Amino acid sequence: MRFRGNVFGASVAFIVGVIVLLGYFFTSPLLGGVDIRQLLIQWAAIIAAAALFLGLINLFTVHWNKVNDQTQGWPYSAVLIFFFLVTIVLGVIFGPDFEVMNLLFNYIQLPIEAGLIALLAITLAYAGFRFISHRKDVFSVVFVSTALLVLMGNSPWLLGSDSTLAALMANLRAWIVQVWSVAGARGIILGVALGATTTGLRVILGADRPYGD
Amino acid sequence: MSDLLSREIIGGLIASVLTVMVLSYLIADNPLFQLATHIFIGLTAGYAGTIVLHSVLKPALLDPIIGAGVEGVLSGEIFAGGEGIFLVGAWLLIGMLSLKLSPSTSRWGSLPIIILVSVAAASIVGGAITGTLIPQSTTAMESLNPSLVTPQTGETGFERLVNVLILLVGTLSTLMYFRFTAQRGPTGEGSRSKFMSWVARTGQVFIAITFGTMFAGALMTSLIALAERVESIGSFVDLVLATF
Repeated sequence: MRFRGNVFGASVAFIVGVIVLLGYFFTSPLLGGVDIRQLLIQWAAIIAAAALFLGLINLFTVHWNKVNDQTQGWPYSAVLIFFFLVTIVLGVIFGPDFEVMNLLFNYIQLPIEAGLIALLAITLAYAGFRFISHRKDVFSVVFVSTALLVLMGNSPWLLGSDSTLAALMANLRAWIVQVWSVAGARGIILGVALGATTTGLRVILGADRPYGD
Repeated sequence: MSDLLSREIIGGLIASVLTVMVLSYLIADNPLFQLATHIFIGLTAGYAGTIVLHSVLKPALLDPIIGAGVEGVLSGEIFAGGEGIFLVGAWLLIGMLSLKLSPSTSRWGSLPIIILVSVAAASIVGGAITGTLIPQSTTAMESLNPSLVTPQTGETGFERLVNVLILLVGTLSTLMYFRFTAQRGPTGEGSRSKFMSWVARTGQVFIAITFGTMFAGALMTSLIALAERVESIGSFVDLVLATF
């Protein structure tokens, strides 16, 4: 474990991290009647919100510079800036429930978002075919077979939806989804939780310093 | 033509055109798709900023000051007690964070980032322990007790026993697959024991099944979105034909 560099940062991270973490298991300490853990969490929420604004300023600056320098694709940046300014000015002055904001959301943001998700259908199907054609081993066969079984067991059939075969496929799908997949998913979730715990502890103990040395 | 109808037609036209622009990516990456995505990013960024301002920053930082008025601020009334500590601290931290905007002052703005990162790390650790590790392990153990769990797939007796075994083997082997520590062999290379290799391969099969199920779920969701988009364009065409 390294203790060089930003000792102040590592110390603050350790103290703050320990106070917030212990609050999950014990009653958090009070300082002058103030719940320190709650105070730190509220500050973190405010900082995250302010950081988002810094990110928006950065986004604006990057695209503003692109328009100014007229680099490749600058008209797209100009469109981005226009829509960003319209939305944020209207939103800041009139609030998110303003009628024009709802129109922007319903007729511009929602169709593009849904369109991008729709695009995913073709992209996923194509990726599935590429996967099985490029990698021919047991695991890719298991992956694709499971996907096909779940799709066939879940979808209405054009012919013979009430046939024995359709019922069998539906039962098979239920068995795969509720037993086999749950077993794998539980292992993955536990693995992710163990990994997250390790990474979090490394940050609190100062072994990893994503905030910089 | 009523206002509502004209709004429906103009809005529907914009929505349909944007949908076609996005779906044009299926042919190739093209300027129409680029335009649609840049509109989307600009709009979403502005919307996110609006939501954050009105839901987090304004109620916590501005409303108390506006509520107290000039007199409250000058008398120091709003800076007293727990709320005062929060308010002063929050404004100070935001001031320090704004130093990050300039490279020359950036290093003085690290404290808010340190607090944010350490609170997030502690919340992740606490959340992982209390929200995932303990409940999932408990559920995994309870699933081994047939009297505690009602059958999910309608199985009874021997079938239930088989399912419980699959759950146990699947959970453990998947977990073991992520164990990347290995013993150093005579040649210096790390290698897993034969048993561990088999367990890991079994885990890989369960991971493939889980990812296959997730893939099918994502594909079905996106197919529904595709159908909804096509249907909305159809509805718009119907509306235009009915109006004119």
